[in-house]
Amino acid sequence: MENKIVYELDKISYSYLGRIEALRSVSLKIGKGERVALLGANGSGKSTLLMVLAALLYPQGGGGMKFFGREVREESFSDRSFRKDFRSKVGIVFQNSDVQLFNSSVEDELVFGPNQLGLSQDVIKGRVERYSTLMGLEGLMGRHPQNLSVGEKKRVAIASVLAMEPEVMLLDEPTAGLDPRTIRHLIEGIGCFCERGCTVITATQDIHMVGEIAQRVIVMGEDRAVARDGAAGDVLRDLEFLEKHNLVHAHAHKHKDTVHTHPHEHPTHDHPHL
Amino acid sequence: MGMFIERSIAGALNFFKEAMFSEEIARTRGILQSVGPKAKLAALAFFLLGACFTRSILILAILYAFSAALAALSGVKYLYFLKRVWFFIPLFTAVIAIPALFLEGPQTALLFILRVATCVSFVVLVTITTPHNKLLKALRSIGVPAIFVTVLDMTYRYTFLLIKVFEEMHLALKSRLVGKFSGREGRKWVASRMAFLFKRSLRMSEDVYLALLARGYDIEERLDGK
Repeated sequence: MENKIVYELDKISYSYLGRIEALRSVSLKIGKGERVALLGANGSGKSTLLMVLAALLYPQGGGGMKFFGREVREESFSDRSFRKDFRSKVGIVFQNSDVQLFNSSVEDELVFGPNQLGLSQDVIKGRVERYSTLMGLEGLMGRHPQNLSVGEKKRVAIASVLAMEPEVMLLDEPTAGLDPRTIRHLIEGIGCFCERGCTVITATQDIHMVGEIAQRVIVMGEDRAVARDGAAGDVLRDLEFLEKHNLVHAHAHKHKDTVHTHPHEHPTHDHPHL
Repeated sequence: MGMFIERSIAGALNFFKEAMFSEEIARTRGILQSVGPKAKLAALAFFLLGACFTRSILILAILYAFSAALAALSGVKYLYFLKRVWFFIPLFTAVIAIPALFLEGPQTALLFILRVATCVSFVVLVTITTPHNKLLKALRSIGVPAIFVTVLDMTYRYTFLLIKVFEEMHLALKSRLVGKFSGREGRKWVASRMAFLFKRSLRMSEDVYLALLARGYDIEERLDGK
């Protein structure tokens, strides 16, 4: 029978250099096809959690992680078939596109992943065409990634992961520092990926995009533990909770003679004026 | 900031950007630009071997003059070409040429310096008249192992990135400099930024490695040659 649970995390903790705590006893389950947003203030452990989910960092202490029911440990990756299977199923888009784009042309970036998976040249060609069109990269294929703008680099980074057609896509702050048109482009790209029934986990502070890319929200608290896990609509409407966790801030301004205060972010279209 | 340090930083940044990353010459019209990258690499190998095996100063001088003529025919400004070539010569030759001058005489030292200058001239000519990505593709197609080409490409790419970071730090410092900044303070700043860049490059290399793993790069498979 097909396993519907992609990730099962049990009391995952992680510290950098053994003393800078980044995750504290995180337990959660993520199902197949779920679209999850990881919200949290700076330093709340979102990026570290994504790195753990991508098996680029391994849990410390007694916690454990299962991927499609199979235990994932550092030792698991000495098994070549497991390594290949895991890397072909999980794709991650890094926050800093510069570390992800290491090839000498945009086309080579898109080819890199599928090539590592040992796909045939015909399949690779088809994927490069499909995802370069999806992310609007047609005119950039011969360019060197270092000469691209921040938004273009991000689109290339996403297309290069999409070209591997993973079952799980992890995105770390995909909209940080991008202009509105590029953000729209990215959301459409992510949406297209979701339509294929894939699991998408996005770490972000941009609560405007959460409603469009996620059905479920996991909020990481400033104590680096899960502060809340629930339906996106419920979490986004709880402005008091969002304010407490530094995701919105109170803002006072004047309408004629009346001063009123409300959270500055408008995560839903029907935000109340308190 | 001391004028000397200020000028040195600006000069070094410009040199690196021009020397390593400008593809302006590769895009102009000239004799070498019209030759395919693979043919250029084959010719380069021929001239390098020739320069390495000859013991005749005259032949080396002719080869050097030939490289200078090719530079002129490819639209490379001669002063720029000289600077590019002779900047590297002391780096490669000083350790060997200086003892050779005293132990084996000036002729051996001259032979050695001329040999290095000729080889560097041909290498510089090929690299500045060929777009970077075409050169790497040509290296792959003549059978240079992928791992070498990838490392070469990454070195180029991340050197560019770190130079950009240094340039931004320099501009940020300039934007806040209103008072006096002595030469000593300038040197201290340069040293601290070098340490910072070193740490940053270490961190970045770890991240790049993780990004490689995440995209299916299998270092063990590569090392096994599979």
